Amino acid sequence: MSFRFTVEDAVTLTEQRLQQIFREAFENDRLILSDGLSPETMPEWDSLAHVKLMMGCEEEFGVKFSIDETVESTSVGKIKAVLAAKGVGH
Amino acid sequence: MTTVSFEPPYSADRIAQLLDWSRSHQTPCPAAELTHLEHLAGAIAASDAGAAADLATKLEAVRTDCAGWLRAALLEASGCASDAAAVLHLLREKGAGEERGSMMLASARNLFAAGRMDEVWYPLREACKASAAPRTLRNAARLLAQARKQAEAPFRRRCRVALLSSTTIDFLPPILRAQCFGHGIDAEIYAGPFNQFEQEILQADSGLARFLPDIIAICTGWRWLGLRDEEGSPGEIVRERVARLESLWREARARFGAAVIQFNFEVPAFDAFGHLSAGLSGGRGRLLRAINLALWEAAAHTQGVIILDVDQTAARFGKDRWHDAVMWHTAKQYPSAEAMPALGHQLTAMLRAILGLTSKCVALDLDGVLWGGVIGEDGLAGIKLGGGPAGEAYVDFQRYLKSLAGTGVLLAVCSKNNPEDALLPFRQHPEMVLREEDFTVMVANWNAKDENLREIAAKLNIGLDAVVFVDDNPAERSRVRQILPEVEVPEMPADPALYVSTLSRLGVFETLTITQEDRLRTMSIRENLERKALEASAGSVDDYLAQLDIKVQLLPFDEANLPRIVQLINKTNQFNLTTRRRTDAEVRALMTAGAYTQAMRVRDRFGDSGLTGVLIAIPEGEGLRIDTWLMSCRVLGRRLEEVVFAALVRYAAESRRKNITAEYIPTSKNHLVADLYARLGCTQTNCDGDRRIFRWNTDHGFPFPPMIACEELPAAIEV
Repeated sequence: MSFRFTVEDAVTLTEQRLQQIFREAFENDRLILSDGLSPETMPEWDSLAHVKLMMGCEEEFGVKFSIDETVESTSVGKIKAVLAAKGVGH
Repeated sequence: MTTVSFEPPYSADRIAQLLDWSRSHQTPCPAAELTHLEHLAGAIAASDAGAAADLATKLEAVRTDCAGWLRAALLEASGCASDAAAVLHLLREKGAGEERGSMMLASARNLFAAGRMDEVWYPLREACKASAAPRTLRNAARLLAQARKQAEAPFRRRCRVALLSSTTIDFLPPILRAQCFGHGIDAEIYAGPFNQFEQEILQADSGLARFLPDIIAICTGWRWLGLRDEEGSPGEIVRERVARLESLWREARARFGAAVIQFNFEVPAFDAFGHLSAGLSGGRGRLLRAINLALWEAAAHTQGVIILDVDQTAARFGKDRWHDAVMWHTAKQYPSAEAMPALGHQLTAMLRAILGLTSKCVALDLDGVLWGGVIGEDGLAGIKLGGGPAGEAYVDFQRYLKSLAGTGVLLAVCSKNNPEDALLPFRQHPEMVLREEDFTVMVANWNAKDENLREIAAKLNIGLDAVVFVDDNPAERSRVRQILPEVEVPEMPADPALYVSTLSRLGVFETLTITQEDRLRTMSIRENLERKALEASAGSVDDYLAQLDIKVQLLPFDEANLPRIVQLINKTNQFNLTTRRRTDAEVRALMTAGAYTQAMRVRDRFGDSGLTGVLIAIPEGEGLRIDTWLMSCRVLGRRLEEVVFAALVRYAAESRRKNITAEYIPTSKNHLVADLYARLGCTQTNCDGDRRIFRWNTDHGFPFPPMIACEELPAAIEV
């Protein structure tokens, strides 16, 4: 018997999973995810951190970002939109 | 596929549904599912702490592994780390591969949170060894850093490693740090700026120069070579690129005295010329191969430089996944982030070799390892060996082990069997590749395997941390891991077809050079066992030594014997007075500075033990100070230390040195020689903590033992 999440759980857990990715990338276990987080609001969101976030999402959600998606995913809201377009959370 | 709905709120219905699911889930959870369950536990605990606690209590009665895992995750999410650790303690030995990595890491994390620092290191090390997932290894590295702030982590060696790269490899350092910890190496890592490795090595005040590396890895990617798909003058290009790297090696050796690990070049899987890329004289594929061969050639002629075979590492990992085009174009990342553990693993294997951590012995179970079936029950005709698919796999594994023994790794048998049953296939089965003479020690009895492993290590005079234990029975593996955590115990797959790749992937047998002593080691150890038999029959020790007919040669270090000397300096533990590990360059520097150097070769009526002793003494003031003195455990107990010391005293007197200063620096492994200087009659002058300083006045000679013939020779080939 295998196990998978339903649609409703996925919505909740996408938030939670994404928050975990951010916590690991920024090595901050108290980080609270919000859609407004971006390189403008977080000085530590540099190019290396960005690659860590992209890699974290690819590992966690089993998706692959294109060059454009990688370049444009410059806030939590935008990352969520890219993930949503790939069927994560829906 | 069963869908279980877990959306909040977590009503009694939902909890019941989840309980049902965990009860019926009998098979082990794959790693991805373990992660999902952790998230789920986190979500339940966050939305309803009471429901989480309630579910954890109910799961206690469910015997499946997934229930245990979910319970541990709920307890962790509810802040009950100690309870979570107790659940994981039973669970963590059950998984293999990534599952094992996840469970071990969770166990370490909870033990850390519970403040049980002594218990953190074992599961953390096992997680680092079992996992090849970037995320698990990164998290392990982070936990390691946190834990080290609170307690001293166990390490076998420390080193300062500089990674100088032509691409972005920022993902590598944390992964490498975790993998090194898994192998007992405390690696301080410096990552040089992107694509500035030449400047770093050449410039006077680079970050590299400030870092003071012991080891420099030159992590060049194939794009750095700037090759077009087809080149007009291939020979010239190969020479020019290799010469450029060679000059960097020389510079790195001269400026830092560091060992150099040079990455060779991946032959990429995509090429406009297709198969002709390797066929055309100027094709890129052909050039890359030619450059790789030329690098090996150059490294073989340069002391202290080894090649990391990136092309093979990439091929084993899968070249399509080794390369991530998006990450290359957006961040100049190469290889791909998911490939970093494979690269780090290979790099760790090379570091082990440089640091003298090469495993020395494979202790093998018999039934299910060297042949299929049970010899004591199935008999000679019933075991699977040759003559069919499964039987062929065992023959193949035996061939691999035989080759391994040819590189100097010792084979031992560690089997639960009647001794006569165990020996039967070795003596009578026509398909056996391995014979009794390929083994140094054979232990077949009904004792616990941990006891037998201790006996094997004691007979071979090696530490348990140099032993690899191969057993197909998970219960035996688990027992040995828990009782003897220093023994390397690989997770053996159920299928014998995978045995060869499993052992060769471990990366614990990598060595810098294979000397003549290595090739003949099994024979030499067997000779030693014959010596022991003679010792038992001789009347006194001196009678025994006289009967042995020992001949010793003492000679200065020279170009021919230096590789073996450096090998001994870096791996000898027991008869080693100061345990100072030194690179080839450091030894040469001592020689140039005028040190007295003495290498010892020994042979007797049973055979030639080869170069097995090293002494370095440095002139200081009016005297000489013994900087390094060690002997291989193979030649101990023959009064050879008296020969060496007598020769040193005579040299000191002849060169008008008034005295000899000697020191003993204790380690966990050199108790054997704690009293050596006192036994030789030196006077203790000082005691600095555990370190003891002794003195010998050269007005007094020291006698050579009469029953040992000693010859002092000049250097064969001057350095």
